[in-house]
Amino acid sequence: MNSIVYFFLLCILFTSCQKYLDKKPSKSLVVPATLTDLQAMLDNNDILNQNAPVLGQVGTDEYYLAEVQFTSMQEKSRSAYLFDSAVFDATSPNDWSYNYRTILPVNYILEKLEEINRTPGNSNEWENISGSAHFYRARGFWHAVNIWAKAYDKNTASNDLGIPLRKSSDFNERSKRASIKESFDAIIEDLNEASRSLPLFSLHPMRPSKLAAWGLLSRTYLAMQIYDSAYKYADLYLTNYSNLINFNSLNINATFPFTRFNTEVIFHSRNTFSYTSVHPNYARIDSLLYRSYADNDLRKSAYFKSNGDGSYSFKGSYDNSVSFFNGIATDEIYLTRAEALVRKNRLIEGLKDLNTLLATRWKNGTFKEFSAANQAEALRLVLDERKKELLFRDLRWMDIKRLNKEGENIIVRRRKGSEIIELLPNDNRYAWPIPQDVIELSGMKQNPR
Amino acid sequence: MRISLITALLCPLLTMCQPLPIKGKVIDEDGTPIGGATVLLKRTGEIKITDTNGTFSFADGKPKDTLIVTSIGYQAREVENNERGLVTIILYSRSVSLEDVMINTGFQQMKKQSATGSFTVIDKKMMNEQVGPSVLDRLEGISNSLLFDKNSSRPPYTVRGFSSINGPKTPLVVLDNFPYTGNPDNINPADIESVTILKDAAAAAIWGTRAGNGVIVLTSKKAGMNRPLRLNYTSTFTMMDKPDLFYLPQMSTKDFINMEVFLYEKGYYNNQINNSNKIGLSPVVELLIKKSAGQLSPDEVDKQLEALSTIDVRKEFMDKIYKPSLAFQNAISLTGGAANFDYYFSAGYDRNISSLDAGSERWTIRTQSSLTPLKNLQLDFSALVTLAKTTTGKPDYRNINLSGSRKLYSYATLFSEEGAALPFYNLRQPYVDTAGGGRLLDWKYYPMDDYKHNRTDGKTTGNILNAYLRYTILPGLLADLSFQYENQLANSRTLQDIQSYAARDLINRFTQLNRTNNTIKYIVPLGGILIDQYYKRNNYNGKVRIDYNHRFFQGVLSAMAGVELIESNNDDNSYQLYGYNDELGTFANVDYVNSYPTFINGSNSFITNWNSLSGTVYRFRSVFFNGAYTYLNKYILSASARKDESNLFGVKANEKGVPLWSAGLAWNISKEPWFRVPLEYLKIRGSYGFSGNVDMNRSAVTTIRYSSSAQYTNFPYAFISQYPNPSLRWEKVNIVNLGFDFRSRGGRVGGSLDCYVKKGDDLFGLAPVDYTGGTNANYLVRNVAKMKGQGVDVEIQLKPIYRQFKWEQVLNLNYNSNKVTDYYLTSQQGSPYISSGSVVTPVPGHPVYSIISYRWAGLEPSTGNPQGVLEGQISTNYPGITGVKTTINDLVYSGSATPEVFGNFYNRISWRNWSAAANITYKLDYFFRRESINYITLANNGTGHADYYKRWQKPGDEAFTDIPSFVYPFTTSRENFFNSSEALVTNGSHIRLQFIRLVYTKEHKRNTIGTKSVEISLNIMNPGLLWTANKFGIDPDYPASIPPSPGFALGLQLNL
Repeated sequence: MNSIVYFFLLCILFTSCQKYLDKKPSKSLVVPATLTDLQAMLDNNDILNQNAPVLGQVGTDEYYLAEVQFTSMQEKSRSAYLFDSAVFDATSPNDWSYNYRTILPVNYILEKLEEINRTPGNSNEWENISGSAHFYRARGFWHAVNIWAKAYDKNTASNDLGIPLRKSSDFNERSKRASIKESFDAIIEDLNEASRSLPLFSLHPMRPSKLAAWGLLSRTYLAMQIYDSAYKYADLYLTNYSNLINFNSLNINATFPFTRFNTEVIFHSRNTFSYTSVHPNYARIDSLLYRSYADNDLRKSAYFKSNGDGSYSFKGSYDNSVSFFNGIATDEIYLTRAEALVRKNRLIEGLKDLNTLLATRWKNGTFKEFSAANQAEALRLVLDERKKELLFRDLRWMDIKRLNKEGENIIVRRRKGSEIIELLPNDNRYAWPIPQDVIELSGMKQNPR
Repeated sequence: MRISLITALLCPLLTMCQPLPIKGKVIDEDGTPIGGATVLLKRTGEIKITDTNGTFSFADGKPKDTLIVTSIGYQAREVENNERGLVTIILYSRSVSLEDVMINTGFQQMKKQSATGSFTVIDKKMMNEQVGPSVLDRLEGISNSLLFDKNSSRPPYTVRGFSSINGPKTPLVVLDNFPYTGNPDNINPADIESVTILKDAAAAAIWGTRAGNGVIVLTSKKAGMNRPLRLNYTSTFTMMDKPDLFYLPQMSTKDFINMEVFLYEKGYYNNQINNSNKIGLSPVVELLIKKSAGQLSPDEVDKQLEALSTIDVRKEFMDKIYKPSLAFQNAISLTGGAANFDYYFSAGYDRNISSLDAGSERWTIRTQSSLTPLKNLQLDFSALVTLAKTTTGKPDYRNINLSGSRKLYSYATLFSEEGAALPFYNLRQPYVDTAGGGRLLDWKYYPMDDYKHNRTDGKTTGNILNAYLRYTILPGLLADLSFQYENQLANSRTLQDIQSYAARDLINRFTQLNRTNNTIKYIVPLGGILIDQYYKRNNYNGKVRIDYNHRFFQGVLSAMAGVELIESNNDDNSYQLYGYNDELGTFANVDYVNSYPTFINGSNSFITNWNSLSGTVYRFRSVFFNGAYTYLNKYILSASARKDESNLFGVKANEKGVPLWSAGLAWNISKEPWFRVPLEYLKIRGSYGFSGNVDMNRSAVTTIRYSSSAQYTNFPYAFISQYPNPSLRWEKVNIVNLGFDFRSRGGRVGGSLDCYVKKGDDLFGLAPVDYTGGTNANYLVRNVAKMKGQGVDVEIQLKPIYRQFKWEQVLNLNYNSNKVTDYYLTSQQGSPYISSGSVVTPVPGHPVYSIISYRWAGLEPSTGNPQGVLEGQISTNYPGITGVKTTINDLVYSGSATPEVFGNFYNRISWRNWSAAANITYKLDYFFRRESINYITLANNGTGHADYYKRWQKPGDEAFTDIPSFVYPFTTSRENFFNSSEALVTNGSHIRLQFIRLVYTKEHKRNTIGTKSVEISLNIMNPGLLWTANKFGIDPDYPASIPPSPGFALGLQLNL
C-alpha cells in the first residue's frame, strides 16, 4: 500500500517538471527574436565600426619606412610593406576575418527580420534595421573589393575575379568568388536598399544613415569610374548636408587636433592595425607630399607632427587617436563632386566645390581661389587636393587603382636596402593575397602575384 | 531455584552439560600474542579480554563452543574450541583485506567484495600521510590511477587519462551524497573518513554525464550509536623554504645590458622613443639616450652601465623579500552516541603565510547527527560551515611588469641603502620627471611599497545543509529522501588607495591642467579605487530513492531506483568606486558616458566602467536504477542505468537527455570448493558501460549575449555568443574494464589488477572553418572526433616482515595511453598542430596532448641559422617551413605530453611506538619542450634564457650546440621555428622522493571501545628528485616555473 503511494509521488515528480528544464540557463543569453535584439546586434560598433581591415592603407604611396623602422617591425608587416607574398597571416584573426565577421551578423539580422511583421507601429525601427544591415554588408563588400580584387574595368569586370558575396548566415556554405562586376553590383544593390530605408540622419555617427549610404554610393561609382552616378549621390548628400570644419577654429598643434564625431563625420569607422607598417609610430610621410602643402595651409600643421629628424608623421585622424578614420565625412564628398563635375567638364562648378572646401583649410584671409584654364588643369588641381586632404582615410589605394585605369600612371615604390621595389600600374599585386587557409578550405582561386 | 537445583543434579550425569574450562591464546599471523582482544562466548554472552600474553579463559565452557574474537586492527573471527577446551586463535590483520574495504559510491556503501566495478579506496590513514590543507592535494602520489599534472593549461588531476578531447576532463567530486561544486580546498581534510575513486563505466551510470571522467567520492566522518564520548585533536605546523629564484637559468646582467646597447645602436628603440604614449624605457636605454643627446658624457654613461652590470635583482629578492612560508593547521572533533542518537562535531582552523607574506585563513565547523525516533525511521542532519579569507602579499619576482608587458630588468635595485622603496618608470623617465610641472600626482612606480596600497582581500563563506530520511516500509523495502542546500558567497575586494600606482596613474591620465589660469580639474576624482566583486552560488539537490533487498533462489537481490533534481544558480556581480576613501566609506561619481582628453597625448578616452552583472541557472533531472544479484555468494551480476536531462539551451526537448548504462559480472573463485591455489581470496570481475559528456555552453541555434552599453554610443548592444550547431550531439564514451583482486593466504600479499579500454565517439572537436562565413574564429566545435584510451592499473600491498618489527609496502603502477583515432581535418597544414603539450592536438594516431615539432636539421655551419626541412630539402626559409607547405605529415611526433606510466612505491617500517614511511613517485614515458632563448622575447621582455651562452658564435660551433646565432633584424618565423622545433624536445621521465614521514605513537588501550593515543609526527616535504631523464637540471613537473621548495611539518594528534 505504502509503495503505491510512493509510486504515485514519483509519477507526479516526473510530469510536473516538464517545464523545469525549459528555464533559460543565463540571463544575458537570448535567441534573437525582437527588433530590439536586432538593433542591439547592429549597435555592436566594436565589431562593425572599429575593426576595419588595414591592408588598403598599407599599400599606398602616402608613406615610407626608414631602415630602422623597417627592421624593428614584425615579419608580416615587413613583407606586406614590400608587397611580398611570402608571409601572410595564415590564421584568423586577420584582415579577412575582421572584414567578413561584420557580414555574418547582418545576414542573420536580415533573415530574422523577414520573420518579424512590419506594422505601422514598428515601421521606423524595422526600416532602420533593414537599412543598417544592408549598409554594413555593402561596406564589408566594399572593403573586400578594394583590398582583394583588382581595379574595376568595365571591359573586363565581368570576368575579373571579385570577392565571395556572402548573403546568408549559413557559414557552412562554400565560398566562391563572384566577378568584379557582380561584386560591385551587390554593393550598389545593398546601398540602394539602405538609402531607401535609412533616415536622413542617424541618432549617432556610429549608426548608418541615408547620407552615409549616399556617400558610400558616390565613392563606389567613383571607383567604377562612373562619374554621372558619383556626381548624383555626392550631390544628394551635399544638398542635404554640407557642414565643414573651419581649421582656423582648431588647436592645430595639439597631439590630435580633430575631435571624434566632429561636424564633418556622418558615419564613423576606423581600422585595426593588423599590419603595423602604416602605424603613425613607424610610418613617415612621403617628403614630396609634405612639401606640397603651402605654408598657409593649416593642414600642414594639423595633419603632421615633426619627428625632429626632418621626417614627419601623421596625426590628423578624425578618430582623435592614432587609428585611421575610414568612415564617411563631408570633405570627401566635396572632392568627389568636384572631380565628377570636372570630368563632366562642368569646370566652374567643380572648382567652386574645391574652393569651398579649401577656404576652410587655409589660414584666415590667405586663401586665393584656384582657377584652371582647361579640364586637364582643373582635374590636376582636384586630384592633387584629393590626395592632400584625404590622407590615411583608406581612399588612396582605391584612388591609385582607379586613376591608373584613367592613365595617371602612379607607381608605388618601396626601398629595401639598396633594392627598389616598384608596383607598376594595374600590377597583379593590386589585389592582395587571400589568406592561404581560406583558399585551402574553400577551394577559391588565389590572386596571382 | 528449583530448576537450577535439578540442573545441578542432572549435569554430572550428562557429559554434554559438564562445565569445561576453556583456555586459549590469541596471536597474530606471526605468532605474536595479541593483548586486549575481546573474546565473546557466544552461548552465554560472557566477555573476556586477553592479557598481554594473549591468553584468556572461561570457567564454564562446553566442547565445541563458539568464540567470537575481535581486536582493533584485525579481522574478527568465529572459532570453535576443541573437546578439551583448548584453542589457539590466529587473527589476520585487517588492513590487507582489500575485499572488506568499504566502498562509498555516494549512492550506497558496499564491501569491495560485492562490487563488479573498479574502485580505489584511500583511507584516512593513508590520506593523513601527507599534511596540507587541501583534501585533493593529499591524494597526490598515493592514489592508484589518479594523476596530478602541474601544467596549468592541462586538467589539474585526471582519473585514467582522458575520455574527451575538447569536453570537460576532470573527475566529478562528490561529498557524501551529492556532487560538490564548491572549491575542494574549503573542505577540512580532518573531517574526511575515506576517499573512493570510481574509475569505470559504473561510475558514469551511477553519477551520470558529469562522471565520464571518473568520480572522487569524499566520505565524511560519522559517529555511531552506542559510543562513548571521544575527542580528537590534531595540530600541524609546516615550514617551507624560500623558492629558489635561480632555478630558471638566466642570461647575466652584463650580457643583457650589452644586448640593450647593441639594439639601441641599431635603432630598435626609436619607435618607442618617439611614441606619443610615452611608454617607459629601461634605465639603460634612458642612459644611452642621454649620451646621444650629449646630456651625459660617454665616460659617465659607461661608468653607470658598469655599475648596473654587477647587479642581479634576484639576490635582493632572496635577501629582502622572500621568507620561508608557514602554515598552522588545527582541528578538533567530538563524537559520541546513545541508543537512538549519535553526533559528530568538529571545528578546524588553518592559517598560512606565504613566502611573500600573502595570508590565508580557513575556519570550518561541521556537525552531523543521526536519530532513530521510530523503529523503522532514521533521520540524519548535517551542516558544514566554512569561512575562508585571503590577503595579498608582496609582489612575485616574476610578476612585476613594467610599462605593461616588460619584465623587471635584472639590474634593478629595489631598496635604497636607507631601506626606502625605489621608484620605477612605467612612462618615459624624462616625461614623468617634468610632466605637469609638478602639479600632477607622483607618476613613479614603487613596486616594493605599492603592494601595501594595492591590496585584494578575498572572503568566501560556504554552507552546506543536509537532511536525510530513511524509512523502512516493509522488510527489504526502504524509501530514502535526501536533500541538500549548498550556498557559497565569495567576495574579492581590491582597494587601490590614493598612494597606489594604479590610482595615481589613472588620476594623472585624466587630469586637465589649465596652463593659463593654473587651475586643475580631476576627471577621475582624487582618492582611491575600490573594485568589489561578488560571486554567489545556490545549489539545491533533492533525491528520492527506493531500495529493495530480497533473498531468493539462494541469492540476494539488491536494487534501487530514484529521481534526482539539481538546480545550480550562479550570480556574479562587480562594481567599482572612484575617489574612494576607505576610512570614511565615501566615494565620488564619475562620468562613464563622455570621453575626455587624456593628459599624455590628448587622445580622448573613457573612464573604464567595470560594473557588471550576470547570472546562470543550470538544471538537471535524472532518473536512475542500480541493481545487483549475488548468487551463492560467488557470482555477482550488476546493472545500472541513468538518464540525465538538462536545460541545455536551444535544443529540442528530446535531445536534452542521454541514457547511460553499465553492466558487470564478478566471480569469487576462492569461494569455489575446488579452488586449491595458495590464495585465500581471488575474484575476477568485468564491467562494460556507456557514458557521455555534454557541454552546457553549446547551443544548436544562434544565441546572442547582451552587454550593457556600447563604446561611444552607450546603446545597449549584443553580440553573437554561439554560432548555431544543429547537428550537435552528446559525446559518447564506452568503457570496458576487466580485473581481479587477490590476497595470499595469511595476507602477506594482496592487490588488484585492472585493464581497461575507453572509446570515445562523437567527441567535440574543433573543426577548421572557412571564416569567410563570418565566424571570426577559424575553428568551430563539432562532433568530429574519436579517440581510444587504454591502460592497466596495478595495486599491490606487501608485508615482507610483519612481527613486532613491521615492514609494509604499497606499489601503484598505472599505464595509460590515449590517442585520437579519427578527426575531421580539412586542412593538412602542419603549423596549427605544433604543440608543447599545453593544447590538445587532434592528430589521428597521436595522444590528445602530444609534443609535436618542426623537423630539425641542425644549425647552418656558415651562419648558425636554425635549419628545418621544407618539401624534403634542408631549408632556412622560415616562412615556408612554418607556412602551408609543411603538412601534418612533415611534423615530428615525439610522444605524449602526459606520463603514460606513473605511480608510486610506498614503504613503511614500524617498531613498537615508532614508524617511518617514505613515498617515491614516478612519471615515465612522456615529453616536454624545454625553454630556450627567444631573441625577440629577450629584446621585448627584459630577461633572456641562459641558452644565450650556448649560441652559435663561429663556424664549428654547430657541432656541439643547437642554439641559433644572434641575428639582427629579428625574424619572427625564425624564432618561432626554433622554439617549436624538435631540438628542444626533452624526455620528462623522472622519479621523485615525495615525502618522508616519522611518527611516534603512544597508545593506551581502553578495553573494547578503543584507545587513548598520542601521536607525534615529522614530515619532510619535497625532498627532491631521485632521477631525471633530462640532463639540463630541469624538474619536468616545472619546466618553466619555480618548483615548490623543500619543507617540513610537525604534527601532534591526540585521541581521548
